[in-house]
Amino acid sequence: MERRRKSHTELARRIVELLRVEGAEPGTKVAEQRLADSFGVSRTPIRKALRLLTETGSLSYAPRQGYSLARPLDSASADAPGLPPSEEDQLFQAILRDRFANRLGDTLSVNDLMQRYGTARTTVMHVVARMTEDGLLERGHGQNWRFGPAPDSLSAMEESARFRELIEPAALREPGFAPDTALFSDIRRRHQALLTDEVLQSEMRAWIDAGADFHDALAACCANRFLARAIRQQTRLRRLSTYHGGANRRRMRDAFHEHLGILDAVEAGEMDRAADLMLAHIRAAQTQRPRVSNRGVPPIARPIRR
Amino acid sequence: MTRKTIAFFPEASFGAALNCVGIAQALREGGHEAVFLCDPGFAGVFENYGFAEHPVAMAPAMSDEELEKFWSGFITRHLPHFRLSPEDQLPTYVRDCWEAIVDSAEIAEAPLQAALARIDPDAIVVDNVIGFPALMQAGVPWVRMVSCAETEIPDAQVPPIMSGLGAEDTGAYPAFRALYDAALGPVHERYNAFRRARDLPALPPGEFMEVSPDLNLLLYAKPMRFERAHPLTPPRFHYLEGCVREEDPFEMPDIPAASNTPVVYVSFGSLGAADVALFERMIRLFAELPYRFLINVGGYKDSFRDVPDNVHLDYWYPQPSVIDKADLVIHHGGNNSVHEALYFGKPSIVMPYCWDGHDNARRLHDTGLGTHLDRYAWRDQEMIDALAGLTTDRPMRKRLGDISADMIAADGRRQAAELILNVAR
Repeated sequence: MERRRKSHTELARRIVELLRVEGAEPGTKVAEQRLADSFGVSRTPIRKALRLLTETGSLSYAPRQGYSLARPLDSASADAPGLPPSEEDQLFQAILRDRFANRLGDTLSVNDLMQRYGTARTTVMHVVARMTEDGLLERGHGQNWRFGPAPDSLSAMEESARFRELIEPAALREPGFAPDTALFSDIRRRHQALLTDEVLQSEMRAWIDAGADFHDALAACCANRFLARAIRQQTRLRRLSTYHGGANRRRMRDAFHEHLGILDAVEAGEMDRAADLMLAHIRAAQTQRPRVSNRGVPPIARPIRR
Repeated sequence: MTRKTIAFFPEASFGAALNCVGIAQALREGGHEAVFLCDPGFAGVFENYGFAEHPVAMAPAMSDEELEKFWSGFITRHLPHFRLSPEDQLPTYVRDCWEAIVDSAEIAEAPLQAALARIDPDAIVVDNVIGFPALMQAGVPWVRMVSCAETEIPDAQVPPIMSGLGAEDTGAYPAFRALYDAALGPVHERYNAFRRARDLPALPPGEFMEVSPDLNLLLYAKPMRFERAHPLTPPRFHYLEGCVREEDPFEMPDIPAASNTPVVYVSFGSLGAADVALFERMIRLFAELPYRFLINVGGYKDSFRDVPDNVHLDYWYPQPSVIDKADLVIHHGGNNSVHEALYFGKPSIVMPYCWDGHDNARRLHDTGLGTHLDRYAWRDQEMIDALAGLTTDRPMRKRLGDISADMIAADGRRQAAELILNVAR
């Protein structure tokens, strides 16, 4: 029974991954037979996996209409929300956790990872492949990889912010920008739900995801595929980085108000104003506390980061 | 109820700033307005807590690059001085600081006057180490907040400030005071000349700030207070049992090793974090010990590599929320850290390096509320013994629990807010 449950869970993950790769959006129909053909299994296990995904809220079911995707897929994780994490996903998160905690060096090998995490070679190879595809790792010599650029230091965060100052306002000014009313409506709903909740109570991850999804949503509307891709990559890196520390609820509260202001401008068709607001928003996020201060230290010695 | 506007002017240090935030939060909860006059380098800190800011220029205009260069030079010059005795720090680190502090008081005079005219507060709360004539002559009540050690207000029976001496070392007080006055004589005279030019009386040797005629609040919990020759009593003087601010909740990070072991929070303040070599030494030892360590390394996180699995570093932690969840705190004796540890009933290991840290370390040790370790001369076994002893000492834990209950019940933030409103215009 346990093995079968595990296999339904694994099949559910594979279905989610397939839908993500296909770029499925909320409302997309999910057909049993097509999935059965894709995975080379009968409809029975597919049906069980789809029921599991319905229970966890990833899919919805309506009589005579069948299954459809209920919510946007989390681009940061191969797992569907509500499902227990797979061994691969656990390893993925552990490597990121340790990278952002300065526990891992700049390069790593498959053997290092197997030894450190006590994981089978196959699992390590799958995760390394996934991280390479994501741009988190770059292939080095032999069985070695090195970490790609990520906001994992103060200087890297500053560079990332300056890069985003170039691309995100530009995406809003790009001809052919096509606002997605349904997507924006979902973003607004999630932002307002968090803003009306006590800022000190809600889980940080919900804030991080809502904030990152806002930037992804604008990228999805940008007609310039290169800008869109670059924004999605930056958003993904920032999302992963802030999962492992550095998020500040109070700043996020302000950021959410800024997001809503940008959406207002976009939906009013005032793209130049939206771009200006986006630039101000990215700059405001860079405001840091004074790096060093102390009782008795002269105020003249305070570096300001803007 | 008449809504009052209270202007806070904390020194540009996290200790003073965040202490004032706690009181400001209490005022706001009572329906009053709290605004902050602040060093431009601290702009954004108070807004983060929802308070209006009025930056006041306190230094010559400098570009970010010039400031960065000045700061790097300051650290390089003074880091070695943190290894010196309190006496030897006087003509080096302490004198340099006072020169710059007096500069800032002179530069800030006109901008402060302008800012106060704009704000038109009903009272001013100043948490600083030097008197600003503009504040004292603004025509409204002013409140002196002493969030450093109690030693800031001199008394024959209280150790001289920054001396690290104990209550029983009275025989050594005159010698330290003489060294202090000699080291700071010229800068003190410069400050007095500035005061005289503003029609304020000169202050006695070694003193840079008078007590307020209206209200003085001391952030020094009862268990640590000194017996004074001239006690500080109401209505002009009140002791607060800590002013711990409301902070973001703290979610324990995923630490891969040492599950279910005691949590030790380490912070030496943002200046103390510049001593990367000291942290590296500590982390090498911590890697072998059965605890989880959360270490505030300030702006220097990127200097650390191969961090052990039982250690977590970050640029910033919401300190009160972390201390609440920790089992022990290692700190530099900064007054906020001292009182936050007491407020949450946690034992301390104190490793001071300058200013009032010396005094607080000695006082915590003498009152049996913590262990004082020499910041640089400590031996590994001393640290191991201190960690083991303090995390298993049940009588101390009971005593700290009682102190914590008293401090929470006293609600220092709210008490401060009420006292300030009572003297406000």
